[in-house]
Amino acid sequence: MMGALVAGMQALLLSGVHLALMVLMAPLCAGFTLWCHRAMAGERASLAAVSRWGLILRIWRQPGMRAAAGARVTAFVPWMALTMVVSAVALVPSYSLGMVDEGASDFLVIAGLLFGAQVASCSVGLASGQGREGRQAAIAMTGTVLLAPALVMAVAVVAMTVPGGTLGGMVRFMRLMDDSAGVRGPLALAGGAFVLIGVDRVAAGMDRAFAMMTDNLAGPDRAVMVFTRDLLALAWITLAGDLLWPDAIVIPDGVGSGGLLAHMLLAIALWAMRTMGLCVVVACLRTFVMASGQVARLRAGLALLCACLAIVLLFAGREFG
Amino acid sequence: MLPCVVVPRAWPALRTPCAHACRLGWVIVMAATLAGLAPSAGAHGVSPRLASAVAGIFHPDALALSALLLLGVVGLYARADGAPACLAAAFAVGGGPLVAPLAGACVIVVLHDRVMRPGHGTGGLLGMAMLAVMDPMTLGGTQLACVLPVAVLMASWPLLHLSWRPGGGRRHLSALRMADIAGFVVGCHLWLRMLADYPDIPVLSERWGDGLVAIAAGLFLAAAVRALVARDVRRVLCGLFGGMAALPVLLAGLGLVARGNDLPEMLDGAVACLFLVMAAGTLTWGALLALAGAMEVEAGRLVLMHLGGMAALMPRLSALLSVALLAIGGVPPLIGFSLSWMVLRLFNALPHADSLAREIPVAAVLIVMGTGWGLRLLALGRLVGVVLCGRPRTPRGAGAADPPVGILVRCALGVAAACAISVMPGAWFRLAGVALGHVTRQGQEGAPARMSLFALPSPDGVAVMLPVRSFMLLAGIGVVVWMLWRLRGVAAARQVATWEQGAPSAPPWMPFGDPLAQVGAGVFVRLVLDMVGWPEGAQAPWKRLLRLRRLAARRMALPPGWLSDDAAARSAPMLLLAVAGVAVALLCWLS
Repeated sequence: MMGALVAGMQALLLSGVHLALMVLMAPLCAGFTLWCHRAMAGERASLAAVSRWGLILRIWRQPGMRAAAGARVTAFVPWMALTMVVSAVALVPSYSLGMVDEGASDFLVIAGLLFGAQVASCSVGLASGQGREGRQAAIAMTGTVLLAPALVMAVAVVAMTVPGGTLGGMVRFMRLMDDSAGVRGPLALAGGAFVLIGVDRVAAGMDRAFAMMTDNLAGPDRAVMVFTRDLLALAWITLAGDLLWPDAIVIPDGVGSGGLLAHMLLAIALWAMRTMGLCVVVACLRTFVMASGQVARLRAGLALLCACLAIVLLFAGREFG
Repeated sequence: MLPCVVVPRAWPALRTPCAHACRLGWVIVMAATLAGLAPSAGAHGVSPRLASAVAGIFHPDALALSALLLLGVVGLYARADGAPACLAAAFAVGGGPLVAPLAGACVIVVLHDRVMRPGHGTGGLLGMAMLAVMDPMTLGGTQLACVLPVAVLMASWPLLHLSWRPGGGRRHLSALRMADIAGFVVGCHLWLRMLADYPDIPVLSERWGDGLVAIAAGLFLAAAVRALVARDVRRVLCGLFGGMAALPVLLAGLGLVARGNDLPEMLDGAVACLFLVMAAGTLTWGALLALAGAMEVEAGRLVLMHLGGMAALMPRLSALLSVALLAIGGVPPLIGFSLSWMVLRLFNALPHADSLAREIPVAAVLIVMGTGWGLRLLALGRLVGVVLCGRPRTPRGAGAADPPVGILVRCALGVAAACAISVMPGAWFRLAGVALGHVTRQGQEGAPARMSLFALPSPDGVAVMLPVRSFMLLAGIGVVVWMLWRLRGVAAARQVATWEQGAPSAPPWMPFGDPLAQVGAGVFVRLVLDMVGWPEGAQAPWKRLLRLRRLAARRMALPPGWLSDDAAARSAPMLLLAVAGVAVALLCWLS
């Protein structure tokens, strides 16, 4: 009884710290990505100039306005998308396993929630019936939907690789497995597919397309929308990072209680490092690979290629390795 | 009751009295079917002759009872509109060996009563005739194994709205009605029956399974394309419905593969998923069609070009519609997601021979299904973006308001049922447990007895999925977000009239603004074509070929004076009855 209570408290504490970290880091990461992107493009920008937290707070304090035509949609959709993204984030471990609802962290649930939020958030542009934002939202929605085959393939690869198909199960499986070399390649490629799926032009900072799409939003609704997009990008990056490098995550019941805190701190540091590295990768992709406006086909093709290569690698490794 | 369904087809003047008779007959059939249970339940008072006679007409086993339950729900929900179809469908699932295919043919005739072109559904009638002839004769195991899937595929083709056509016009797609759900239940029932009756021949069963999976993936993609390009809400729904109706074929194929490879757990999973598709499809589509019907009454014809801004005009109905659309779109805690999870798990449970060559077809099927799912999502987004969002496009649409409370409650009940089966899929398996055991041939000790009320059955036994947990997680975080929304410390947002953003203001004769300035239904299709790099005019040769074919068919047909337009369609059911009569006579003479 006491043991269960202590375990529950620990899970709650871990979840709380994880959520706080993710919420705190999401705008920072987006700002860092934007800064990298600008630096690579040759602009001189200070880190303070791209501070996203300042921007979000400033927008939050502005008076709220809604177009009469789409008021109900614009009032509801950003908050619904926030709920979906935070729920998905609560399932993606950043530094430690053993959080609340670890058993429910199925890859398809996480991917479905994030993808659903990504598609649903486009409907704010369609809400008031203006041509320009509507068209931009339709472009964003279509571009996202083109990624669906890659998403299905990537999730299927992970589910074929790992018994059970949950994230926590995957981390434990990789830790227990002696010779995991044959599995690492496919998982890393699936992680690459997730990065390509999650990181659109919007995720690399305040893009013109995003600004055009969210012309209908002002005040707190807009602040929530901006924050949701940042959190969405961070969630995809963390998911991909878990697949790329599952060893950085602490399993609490595998570590003695003495060194647990030190392990956790180390894991948090590793997570921050990993996330920064992936942010640089995203900025590179944004600057050099997906620089032009017509990127949807390229992105979808690359993501699908990653997922297909993962399947090939998985079964070729089993057949010939 | 059968003539009541068939006769108006040949003599339209008798339609009204027959419709009344059908509505009365619906009650009688349910009572009679339950009475038909009495001999099988082992009532001693009934004489054996009577019992066998009743069993010839009514043959309700556990499988039929679960389908009858769903048909009862559809019949209650559909009212007069779907009564004849439900009546025929009740016979088709609960009838004896000869009655069931005949009644299935009647369902096809009823469904395609007001259809776009004569002769549609003839293949289905032929398939039903094949089933009718095949069942009484004792075919050998191999012959049955060769023919059975073809017959069932042909018979369920018009019932499930399966089609290879990617077009969305009136010619290609019929508007979805409540009666189509009865057809859906019959189609699912046919596939379940096929799985239950398929003889144990591993090689044939695996080949057929692979073929059915490939066919179903193609049909799923074609249906998604139809949903994306249709111009009318009911036709968009028909495309989406076609996507869900391809799932029974897919799952039957996976079940056959499992049987061919002797994988009992995977077979359990496939059959359970098929049962869940049947129940979830019935409930969700019932709710969606009730919502569409209510919207049609309020806002006029459901053409996408005429609708817009419904979220502002009818907020309650729009909220219910969005929940139902999310449920079929596959957003996590709802039933569409549970189905896709089970299908993905079934694909993982396929026998992996650890060879790359065997995985390439699986990967190809997954890519096709994923593309289909993406296009379905886009079709849903298009429906929401054009109908619910935006501004009204016509005065008729602008005058719409929420329907009266009674109708709203009826719609809400349907949506609540869809949500209930999302949260508690196990409850349905408890109800249909015996039927499940019947199909997997494992008796009652099979998987359903062990199932929890909230868990989805997983084919490999390792993965666990409790939709209720995702539901609670979303609800918990939703409460926190709601509190944040309440406590955000700013006054309620001001609503302002729509700004024009530099565009010229609307002229007085166009009070709803320029309809072309809004995003219309065609934009999404154009964008998809642009983004995938579809070359302009690439489909022209195909169109020319099709036109040539149509021309040739017109040349080869009989002169129009000889036959009236729908003579073939009119005479088909009569011909079917005559053929069945001859077949019965032959059988009597032979035995």
